Amino acid sequence: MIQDETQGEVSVVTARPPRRPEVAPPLPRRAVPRWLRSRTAIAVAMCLPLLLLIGGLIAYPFFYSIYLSMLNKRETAFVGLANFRFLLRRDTFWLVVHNSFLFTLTAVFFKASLGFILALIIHTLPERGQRLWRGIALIPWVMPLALSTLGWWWIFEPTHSALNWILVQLGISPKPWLSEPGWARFATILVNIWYGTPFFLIMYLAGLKSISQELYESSAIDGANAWQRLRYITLPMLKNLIAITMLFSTIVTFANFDIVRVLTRGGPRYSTHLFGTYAFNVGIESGDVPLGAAVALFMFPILAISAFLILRGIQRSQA
Amino acid sequence: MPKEIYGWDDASNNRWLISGKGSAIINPPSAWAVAKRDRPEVAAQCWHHDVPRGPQGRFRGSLPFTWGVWKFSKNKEAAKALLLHLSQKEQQWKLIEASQGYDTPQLPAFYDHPIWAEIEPPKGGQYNYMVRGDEKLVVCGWPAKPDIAANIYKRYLLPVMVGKVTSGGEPPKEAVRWAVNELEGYMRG
Repeated sequence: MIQDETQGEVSVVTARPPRRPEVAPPLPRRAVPRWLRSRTAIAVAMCLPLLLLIGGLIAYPFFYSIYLSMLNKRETAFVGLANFRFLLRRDTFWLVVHNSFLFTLTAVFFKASLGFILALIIHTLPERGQRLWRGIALIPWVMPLALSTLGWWWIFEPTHSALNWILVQLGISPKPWLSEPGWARFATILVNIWYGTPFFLIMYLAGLKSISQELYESSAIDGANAWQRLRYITLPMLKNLIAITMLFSTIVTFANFDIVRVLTRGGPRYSTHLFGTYAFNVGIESGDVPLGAAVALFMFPILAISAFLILRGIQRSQA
Repeated sequence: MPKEIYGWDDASNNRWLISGKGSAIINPPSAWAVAKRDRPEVAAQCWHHDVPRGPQGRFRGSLPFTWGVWKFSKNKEAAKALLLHLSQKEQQWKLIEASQGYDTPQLPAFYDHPIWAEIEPPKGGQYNYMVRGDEKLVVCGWPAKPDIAANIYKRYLLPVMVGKVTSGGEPPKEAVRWAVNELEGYMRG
């Protein structure tokens, strides 16, 4: 018997020597260039395609949009921050800021709440039932958003709304889903909640499964009720996960485009325009690319600050 | 005017007319063409007439499409010859027939095509689609310069301004102040 140093356990050495694993003969050293022999060089080489993609599709357009936002309307002269100052004096821009915050805060709150509640419910189901419900719940998230929003548009259609038809059958007056600012905002937020809730559901479900059952068992022995288990075990254990999912969802929701574009095109009376749709309307549809770039770039400091605060909170809680 | 128009898209007035809910729209005969295909009994009751006269006259909205050759084109002469050929009466009439009279020529000299008098149902219903009386064709945003007019059109300045009063309950002066603020944005250099 010998002592296995790596495992710290005792094992028996049998009479037959262990089979050597069949490995390919090493390449002659001349075939591998010297610069590729270091692990760092291989790591860089393997990451290069990703770095090129990020550089070409994210970094370059980002810096180019900063450059564009500092040009005049005809893109012939450098105007510094004049476009940003100009936007701050426009009523419509402040309406877009208001819409974007209302849309994002409301949608993320309800997506996170509903996702959490649904995750708790599905987590209590037997494993077989969970698979079915997990699959069903994911459908809104895996469907192409522009396509599913088109379906919602038919449901809310101003003149022949299917939902209004049902309401009338039930004796309820029809609602102006897309033609009155309050209802139009409600409709766009509702579709975003419908689409985004499965993301939270899956993340929270994964988080719930990672919590040790022993914690719940020992708290049950101490007499903790369901609310106390949720308050003092589940929520603290999922705290970082909740923060990260909220951050991701805030970024995606704030930059939303598809839902508003398909459902309302920013109307009625600009009441549902978000940064993304308004930037498209100003920059592409109306031909003022520098001002459109400036509208889009207003999102950056807002999202950067919220990301910084959330990530700092996570770092502190881990420390 | 129904309240739902504030949520309409380009085709909503067609659907409104064809559904039997609506009786009058200000539109080219696309609604009639769709009705002819899907609800012939509705198409048979459609009739095109001039827009009502206002204090300054009759103004009909127009959406002209133009042809051109790029400055950087490699074969400008051939391109110009093609456009000249397509602009001749013979070719223009073929285009008019292909669109059942929906696409109209810009030149009144081509208005004598018989399609607007003969196409049915009902016979003669589309005759007045061509400007034959005292209507004036105007482009949205006119008489502003083209780049500003394009902004007025694409950013829905006029419908939003009117909607602020008729649907939003804002005083007309407030709606005009908003439109002036928007226009300043369109006119920046």
